[in-house]
Amino acid sequence: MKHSLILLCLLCCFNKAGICAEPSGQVLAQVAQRLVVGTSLQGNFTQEKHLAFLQEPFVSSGEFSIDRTEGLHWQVIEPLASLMVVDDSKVLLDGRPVNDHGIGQLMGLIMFGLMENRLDTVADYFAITGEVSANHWRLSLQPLSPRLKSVLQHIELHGDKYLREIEIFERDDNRTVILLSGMRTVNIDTTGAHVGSTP
Amino acid sequence: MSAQPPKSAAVVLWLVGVAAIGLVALLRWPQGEWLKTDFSALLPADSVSPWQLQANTAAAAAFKNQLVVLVTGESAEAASGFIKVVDETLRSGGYVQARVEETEAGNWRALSERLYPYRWSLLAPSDRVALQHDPAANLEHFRRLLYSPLGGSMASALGSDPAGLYRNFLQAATPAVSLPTGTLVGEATEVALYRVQASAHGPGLYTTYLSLREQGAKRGLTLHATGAPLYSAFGVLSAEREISTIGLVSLLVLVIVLVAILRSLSAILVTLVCVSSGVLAGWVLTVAILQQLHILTLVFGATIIGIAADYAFHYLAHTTVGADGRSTLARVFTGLAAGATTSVLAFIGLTFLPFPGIRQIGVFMAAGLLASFLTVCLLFPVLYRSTAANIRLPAFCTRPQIALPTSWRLLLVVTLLAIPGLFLLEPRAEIRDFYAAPDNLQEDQEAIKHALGRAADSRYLLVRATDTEALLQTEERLREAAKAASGSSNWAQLKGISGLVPSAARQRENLTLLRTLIDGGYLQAHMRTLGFSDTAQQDVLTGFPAGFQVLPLTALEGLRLPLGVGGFLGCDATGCASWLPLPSTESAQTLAEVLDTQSGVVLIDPVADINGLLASYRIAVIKLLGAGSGLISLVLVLLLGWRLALRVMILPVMSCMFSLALCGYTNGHYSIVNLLALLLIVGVSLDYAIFRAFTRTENQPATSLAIALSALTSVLAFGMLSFSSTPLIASFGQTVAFGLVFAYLLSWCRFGAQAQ
Repeated sequence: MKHSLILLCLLCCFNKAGICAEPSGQVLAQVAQRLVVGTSLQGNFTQEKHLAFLQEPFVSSGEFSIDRTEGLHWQVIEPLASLMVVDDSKVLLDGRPVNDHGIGQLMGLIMFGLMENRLDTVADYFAITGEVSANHWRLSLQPLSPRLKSVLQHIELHGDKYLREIEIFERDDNRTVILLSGMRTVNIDTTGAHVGSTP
Repeated sequence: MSAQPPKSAAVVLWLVGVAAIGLVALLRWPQGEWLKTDFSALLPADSVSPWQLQANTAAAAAFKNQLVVLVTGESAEAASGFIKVVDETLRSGGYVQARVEETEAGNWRALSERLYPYRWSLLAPSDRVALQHDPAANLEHFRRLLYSPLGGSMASALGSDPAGLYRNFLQAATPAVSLPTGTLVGEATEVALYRVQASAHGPGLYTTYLSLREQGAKRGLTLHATGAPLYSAFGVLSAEREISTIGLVSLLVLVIVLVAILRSLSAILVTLVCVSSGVLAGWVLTVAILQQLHILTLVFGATIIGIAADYAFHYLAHTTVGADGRSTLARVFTGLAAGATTSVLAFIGLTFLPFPGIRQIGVFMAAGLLASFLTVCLLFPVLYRSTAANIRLPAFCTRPQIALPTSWRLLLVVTLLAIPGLFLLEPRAEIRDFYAAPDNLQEDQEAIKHALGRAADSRYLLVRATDTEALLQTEERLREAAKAASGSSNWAQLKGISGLVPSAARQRENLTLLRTLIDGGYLQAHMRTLGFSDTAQQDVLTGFPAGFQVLPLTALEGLRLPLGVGGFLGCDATGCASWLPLPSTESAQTLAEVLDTQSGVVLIDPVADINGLLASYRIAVIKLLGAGSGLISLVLVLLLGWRLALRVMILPVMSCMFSLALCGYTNGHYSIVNLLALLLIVGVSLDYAIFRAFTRTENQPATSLAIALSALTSVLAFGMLSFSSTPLIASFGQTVAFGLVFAYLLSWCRFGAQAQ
């Protein structure tokens, strides 16, 4: 059963993230220059989950906020309301702990990495390639660990001064597209320095 | 010694003995591996009930071959890269075939496929409760999860499992993995779990680990590793080093002493023949009789060199220039025979204890010493002839023994000094003392425990019932009670075979519940909401069974069950049994309260059981020491009369007492190991007393030399053991060395007249 394999593979995704590594690559440096850096970010999202056996995708939408002290809040409003909260140690769905096998943490890792301009945290888990133009950038994230590889094909990130789109390609031809909009950053770091640590 | 065989007959007799040993070896030599390195091979197997024995084996199997490697550093990429190096090194070295998560994924896949046809009868406890109360709300909750970012893995199997119920069932049966805290902060960590090949438990694994640590350090990474195979590898490595060190030093001392005092090449050669005969006979007969020999027995066995040489020394020290070998033998035979008999009897006494390792030591030493004794009696008169240039007694040997009243006074003073030490002694029974555990491995174990938030726990729950249905129902009640007692704490998530195969009653209940879900149209509505086509809905619904078909326990036959789910032990005339692992080290105390209300379930703590066993065997050895001393005293009374017998027994008894008192002053405790050492002290020190007692006054200088040579070599050999990294061996060596020093000193005291 494919789903049990995925279950097991995800079960093993319990790495701590390394946050002090030096990011490498010109692309990351160029993306970093374009990102608006802050300590808190809010916005809206639309999520489409394309499943191989269904013609129509699951579509949900809502709001999100991300804050170093509060963690990641992912509020689905339509079609069914739910609230996912991710912080350093746990993942809650509607106030109840969820054994999500690392998915929530991975999402938090990417969101925090791009908000705080700490792409090194993402680079610790993925081989990153991409393209950067004047108003747009695209990053392709190839998982490094065999455990992640067994679940994910790759992740595509699109953005400008903010992350705008996350596209997750799973191993079993399922695909999730998350579109982010209406971004509002607070405590913008106008010096362009990284927040919280030295790169 | 009038009945000595002719010289040629003696040699033939010795050769016949060698041939007999060879024949025994030929007939009885084991087919498989005879050298054991696994510590469990030293422990008694028949001390617990058959079910517990089976469960112990099954529970231990989870840890026996497991190796956990943790790499930490500042960069996750570097840590991840280095774990690949670890992977390749372990695979290319033949230590592992695959990571545990790889084999576990296969195990879960096979299990999932085997249970899939019965999926309509299988529900996670939380789903069952939720569906009973409000099926629509439960399905809606699942849809919420699907629409959240966490729903990715759930959506992949939606086509065959639209409500995620089978997925939840499997997940509920999966042992909880405690995630290291601080995923978003902290240093990078990579963890790998391996199953080490049973054939690769040699010392190479430990040296590989040391080399990997070094490589990691060069990359700025820290490698920690823990697991029974690593401890075992270190044990083998240190045992091998110690065997070669002790063996080499003992032989070297022997040669130096023989060259310095005996000044004869033939003396050295016959002594080596005597010692080699003992070692070879001990090795061959132990393997032939017991079918195995533990590496630790070989370490003990190395000390036979020191004891076997005693017989040679006693003979050589009593040779006179130009004398016939037979007359020399006649002079020493009684003392030699009495000494060998008592030592061999002392070691045979060990074979009555139920510890396989101790039995091996008993057989090894008894067979070896007997062979050495016979070699002295049969070969020495033929092979060794003293010349004028040979033995010159050192000056101290010609000194008389300490006179009677002074000896008793000295004994009194030392006894008074020893008494407080004896009062300081506390009994100790701790199996961990048997392990060689270097600081680096202990630190690694702590680091991994801290990183993973859990440690290996050998305790488990043993469940028994009259039949399989009752067994599964007992497990289900137990798991529910544990859950109720703890709320949402992880420790209460007991996993067991009933988590994979529920009782028939529970399966029927589940099927009925799901039929209600379909009959009420809940599932169809749920699928429609998700966008299932009519065909897709129909595909799901046609899978629902027309009638109840129970999933039997036998369905799991041939499957390798995933780690951490316990297991079914089987059924016999007394009933059926299963075991459940403890989810965390904290759970035992709270579970103990739950168990009070659950019949048929007991908490098994194998370490505590073994420690209890060690304590009871300690008492058994005390009794054995008492009985053995009584028997030896009786033999001596018959041979020497009670006065002299009593004086002979002073030496072994007081040597043991003084050695124990020193243990009290230095360690404050004693264990079965110290008591086993006393058996050896009794055997050797009795030799000294008997040699003294059976030697005429004019021959005492030669006996002084023999005893001095014996004490020197034995104390050195056992003293070397006290430097062993294995606490068990170090403690043994220290106790024997102290005891023999006292025995030697006491041998200079005269407590009465010599036997004539």
